Amino acid sequence: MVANQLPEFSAARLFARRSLYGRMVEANGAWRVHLNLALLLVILVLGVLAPLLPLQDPVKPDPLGSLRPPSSEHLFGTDTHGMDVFARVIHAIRADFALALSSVVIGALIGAPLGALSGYLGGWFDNFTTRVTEVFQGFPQILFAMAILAAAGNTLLNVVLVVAFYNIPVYSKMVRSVVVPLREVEYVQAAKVASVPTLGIVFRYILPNALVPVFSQLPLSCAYAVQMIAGLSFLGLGVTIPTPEWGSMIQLGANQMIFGHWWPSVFPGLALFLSVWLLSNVSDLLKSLVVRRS
Amino acid sequence: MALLEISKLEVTFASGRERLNALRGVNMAVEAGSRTAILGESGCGKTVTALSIARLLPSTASVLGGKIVFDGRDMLALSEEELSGIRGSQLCMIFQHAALALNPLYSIGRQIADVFQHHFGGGQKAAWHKAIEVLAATGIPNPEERARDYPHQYSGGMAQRALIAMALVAKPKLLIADEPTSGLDVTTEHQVLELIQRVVGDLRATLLLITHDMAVVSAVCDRVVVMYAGVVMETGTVAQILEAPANPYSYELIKCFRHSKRKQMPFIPGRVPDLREPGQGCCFAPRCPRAEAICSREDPPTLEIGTGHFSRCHFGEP
Amino acid sequence: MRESKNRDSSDHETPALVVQDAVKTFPLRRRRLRRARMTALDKVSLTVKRGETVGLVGESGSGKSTLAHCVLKLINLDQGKIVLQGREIQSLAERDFRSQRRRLQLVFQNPVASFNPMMTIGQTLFDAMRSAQEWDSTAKRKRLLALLEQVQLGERFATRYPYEMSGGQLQRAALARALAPGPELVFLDEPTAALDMSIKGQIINLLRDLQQQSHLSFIFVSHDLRVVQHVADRVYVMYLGQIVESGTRQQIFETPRHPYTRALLAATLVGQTSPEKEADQALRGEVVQQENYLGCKLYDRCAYAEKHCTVEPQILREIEPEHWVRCRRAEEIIE
Repeated sequence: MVANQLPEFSAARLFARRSLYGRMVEANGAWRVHLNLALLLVILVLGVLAPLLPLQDPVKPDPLGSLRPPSSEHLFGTDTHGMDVFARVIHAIRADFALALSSVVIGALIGAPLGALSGYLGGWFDNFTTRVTEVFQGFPQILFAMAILAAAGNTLLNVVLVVAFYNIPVYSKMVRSVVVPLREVEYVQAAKVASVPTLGIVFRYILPNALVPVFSQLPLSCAYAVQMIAGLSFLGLGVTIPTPEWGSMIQLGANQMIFGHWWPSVFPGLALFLSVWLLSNVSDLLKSLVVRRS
Repeated sequence: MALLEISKLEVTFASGRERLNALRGVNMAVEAGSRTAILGESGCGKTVTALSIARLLPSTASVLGGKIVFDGRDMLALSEEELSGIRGSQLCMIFQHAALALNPLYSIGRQIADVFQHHFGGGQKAAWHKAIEVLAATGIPNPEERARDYPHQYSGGMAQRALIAMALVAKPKLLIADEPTSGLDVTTEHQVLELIQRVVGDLRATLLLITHDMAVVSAVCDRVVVMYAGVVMETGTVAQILEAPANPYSYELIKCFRHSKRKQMPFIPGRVPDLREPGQGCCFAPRCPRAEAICSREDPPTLEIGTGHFSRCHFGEP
Repeated sequence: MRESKNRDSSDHETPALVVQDAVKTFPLRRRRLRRARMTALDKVSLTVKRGETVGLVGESGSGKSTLAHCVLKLINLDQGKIVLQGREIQSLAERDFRSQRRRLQLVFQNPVASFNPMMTIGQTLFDAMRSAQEWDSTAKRKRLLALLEQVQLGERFATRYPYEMSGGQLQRAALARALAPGPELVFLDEPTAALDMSIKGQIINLLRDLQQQSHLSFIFVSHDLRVVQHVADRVYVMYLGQIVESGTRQQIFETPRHPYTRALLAATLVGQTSPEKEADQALRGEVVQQENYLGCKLYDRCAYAEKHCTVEPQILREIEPEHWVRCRRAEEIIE
């Protein structure tokens, strides 16, 4: 291709970026990307379409049919109230993914840039932000959540915000510690020499290179978020009892394990395990976009 | 009988799905009492060769084939216990960036004393005295005080002297120095090289010096092994290589070091081949001004150019 | 040919850069709680004329990198003046200086670390032209591609990421980035130190070509005299924050007068000079920072040192036209 023949065309081709999807496939291989994304998609679709699927009623108690082991009628058996575990596991996808994922993502979306700005700018802004986030971290989470929900009302949105609040300091601190050494790295100085404004430096040069620990932390945060939500629903806050949610299902079914009734706990546990593992894989895929081999 | 003999050494590194062929059939012989240099640029495998001799390769590396015979013993077959007996007493190694090779938590004197006690036993006092003795021998001023200092309190040049001092504790037969002067000021480099020569002379040891700098080679060594992309391109005495290099790579490389008053500075265009790909034919062929069709098809043989002078090339001259 | 061009322009044009009596100190943490300061720049002055390449030579602790950072206003001077093309810039606030930034650019020592791993070379180069508001996107792209050609990288490198390129290629891209905003002065901080011997020449030759094609001034900072010899018109030698010798390339390389310069030359050309000369010029010991000491800073390492050298600070004297030396025994030190 000769540059001076069709300059507009050649320039446009040269500057077109390969899509995110394309780059992921290149870095990880088609199998890994497709398998993980497909599984994730299946879970999300199941969750979204749950009410339309031919499942048993997840919240209909059946005291006479309680604690039935898995059978053709109840694939995962029934729990202490006689509710179908399989239907509950599927319906719980909505609660868990929606709540945990969104709160973690909101927390990270606010915390990471905050940490980057704080680490890069230093000075009073850094001091102020660090003190404030430390105050938030100092509160015992459950009590804090209870207080907020009691004051502001027990809505799902509030639950999301409360869990997000807990995540902000986590990501802020993590990103900040990675950013501080990045301040002196040559390519940041090169950007300064090129007159890139401060915000540009933070968001295009520093933040993308500080994301590696963030991606590793995300699935872990989701698992903690699920636990916190489960804890809240156990207390009657957040997700109220009949609504299916893996964490609360595990907790309620735990007592039955000694009696040999393993299915009310184990199946939601497996679902949780699978989801966290899948999220972890997806975070690895995302990480591969960010981490460059030398 | 050569003190150290390496034949057909192949080492690969595995990272994820990729394999990096760091050494692809290295052959070299180091005579007792000689000062041999392994000369090469980044990625040629010279440090990997040195680490292989001392069996200090990281866990991601695997030796796929070949033999390393040191003082009659097959190094690749020895157990860890036998190796720790050899390392430090018969075979010593100095690394680049000396300060990083020292444990930051212990004083220099303590570290040297530990080496002494490990190989020769004895009490702490005797070991400490020995430590001060060797520090003095390497020209460190106030050795009694400096022995109590920690690595971070030493400058680059002094830390390198401390490492050399550690090598003096035992009386090694072979001293491997891996780029001992990288990161040091030019004026300090001069002093460290002189020290290494003196130490090797006093110990009547053999020196294997890894470097990328031809000037260091010509100042210190009598034999040279030129490496490129995981293979040995040429071997010979310093005089043979400097005055009549037979291998085109050596020839081009020496041109870069030989500064003339000419306006243009010589260089070798292109880049080092990707060690992840299995190559075909001569690895230098894409950049070689002398290359012909056969060079990219067939692996070149090792030709004997003169006594002790070998070149890995299809042709006998550059 | 180049000599005459300089002689014509030097008298009639304002120099590209003048640094006057620059002072910079850094705080040191000491074992005893005294607040000690390390002097990185001790009244350093230098001049760069338009279209010339000035070599700044020194080892670790000489202050050469600090000087580069100060001129580029990545750190601020404690005292002294920096005059860029006749305009004083040392006291400008960052906001006011931003419009001037494009006239001064920098090439870093480590080519791999000087590029954002998340951006392609094309994006980095495009960003480097931020301050040039007179060009629109299309013009910037065209300029970008032209620059890549000029540094002997094809246009296909615009879409490459830094991890896909070799050190030599990245350093050429760094040169393209430095040229992108259209500067008048380019600082090169040890540009070939991290490169193999077999590719240093490519960058050096490129610099020479670029200089012949343009009126750019270069400041080439290096500890490697072998390389400086090929590019510099004039050379400044620094030691512990002071200029100890300055002169034309010929003066410094053929008739060096300061013991430090001579030692540096002897050590660099090791193996190519006779052993007697080496012994005569070798330096003892290592670089040591001293506080509250007024004599010659090289005293405890110098082969020509005398008691008198510690008594008073040595001043820079012009021993022949354009050749300045900071040593009271300069006239006695002859080959």
